Amino acid sequence: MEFLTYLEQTGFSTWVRESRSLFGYPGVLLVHTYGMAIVVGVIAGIDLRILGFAPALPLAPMRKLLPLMWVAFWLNAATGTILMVIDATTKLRNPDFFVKMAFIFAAVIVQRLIEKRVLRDPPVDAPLTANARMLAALSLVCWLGAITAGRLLAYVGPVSGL
Amino acid sequence: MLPLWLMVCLAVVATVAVTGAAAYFINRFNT
Amino acid sequence: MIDSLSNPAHVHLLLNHVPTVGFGLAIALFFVAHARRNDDLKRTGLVLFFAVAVVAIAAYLSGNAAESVVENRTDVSHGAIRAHEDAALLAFALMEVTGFFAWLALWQWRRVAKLARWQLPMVFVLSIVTFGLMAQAATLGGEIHHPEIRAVANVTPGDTTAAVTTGIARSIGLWVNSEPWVWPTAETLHFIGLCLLFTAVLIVDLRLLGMMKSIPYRAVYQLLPLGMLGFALNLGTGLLFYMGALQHYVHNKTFYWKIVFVVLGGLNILYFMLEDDVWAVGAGDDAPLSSKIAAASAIFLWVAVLFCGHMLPFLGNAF
Repeated sequence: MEFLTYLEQTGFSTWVRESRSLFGYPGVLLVHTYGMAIVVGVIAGIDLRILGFAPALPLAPMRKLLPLMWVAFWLNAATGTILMVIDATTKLRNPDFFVKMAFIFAAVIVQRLIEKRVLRDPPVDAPLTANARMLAALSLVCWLGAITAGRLLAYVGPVSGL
Repeated sequence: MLPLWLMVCLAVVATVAVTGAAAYFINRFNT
Repeated sequence: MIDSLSNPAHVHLLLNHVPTVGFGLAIALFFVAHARRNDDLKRTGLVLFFAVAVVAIAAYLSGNAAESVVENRTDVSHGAIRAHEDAALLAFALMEVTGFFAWLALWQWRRVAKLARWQLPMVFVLSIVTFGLMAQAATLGGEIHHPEIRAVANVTPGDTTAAVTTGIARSIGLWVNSEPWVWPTAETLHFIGLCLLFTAVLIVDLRLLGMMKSIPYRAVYQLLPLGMLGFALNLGTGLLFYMGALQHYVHNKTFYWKIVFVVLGGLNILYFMLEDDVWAVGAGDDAPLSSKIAAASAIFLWVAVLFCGHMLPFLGNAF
């Protein structure tokens, strides 16, 4: 607990949280929001395609979007860490935060499975297996859970003045 | 009265289901 | 002249002509198109319906800011304002439904030679009903500050009793605030909507800008309804935020710019549906310069919408 308080009170944390600069909290959260839009935007596109939406879209070239998605993911891991650290005593006592992390953890595992097994060699015309569709549905559920849990952070569990 | 997080989750899932159904039908009638 | 654009009442009065006069002209064109059995004219009518529906977003939202300009005048009736607001909300809701179905027909018409039989008649019926509701909203709007046309009994200038300070729009706003689950749910759905919008924007526009070249444009074209669904989710939840917290939006310059970008973004979509050059971009093709410009501007516009939305409490004076 003391460590969490320490994290919150470092110069960096204090500056991000309390400076009026747009590069502080507003900027960090902005990057986090754009990151979410890119991560979920790309993944939803691929998952929905696997589920049969927009069937004329070939899956193989959509793999080219994955590097962009992973860059956005790591940007969000970084900004997310900052957002957590500046409010550590509250976030790490909030079960909802761990729910969000669990959804993201699961989402990443499912995403790696999809990349390894489904996107490896998708012939355009072959029907995707039931397994592939299940993974895609699971992926969407995980990201839906992450977004919902993330939004609820400001409303459930201990919430700081932030 | 249900807890807040549960109400939010139910409302979100319900709306997503409705939107998803709309997307499904638009997709179905265009393939 | 530019100064008047910063007077919200003036902006509202300017924009109001679009969903009334503009929409009426669109209906007339659509009718003529059917009488002459001219498909291109029918498409034009659909385009106009959609464009009017997009601009109507700004027209509706500018109303409450206009109210703030006139509300303290003694010759203005608050009852009339509330009645106008409620009629406008209903007309606006139906206008957006009309716009959506017009957009859908336009989108499908690229891909199939003939639309399903019910589609254009449905759009036509929706447009007539919408026009009727708009006309009523407009008439009630006139009664706010035109005493010479007021029906004598209804309105009492300067009346600020409860009976004339509530109404459907205000009640929705009260409901949004009274149930603790509404705001977080709406926010979550707003994020989901923006992700869906970005799915369409990223895949369609990055393709045109040169990524994933083996995909023909007509394949990514199938993603446009997904973007539209995201947009619809966000329009709905956005209205809930707006009605629930008027004071944070009405004098917020960042919100003003967000709506400007939303309208431009909405109109920008038309390029991706109407332009033949972009439809012709096949597998392996490099898109023409005009398509690249359109794609880049689409990315810019929706990135700007997100920026303004996020910055509402930081650059704007919300919350």
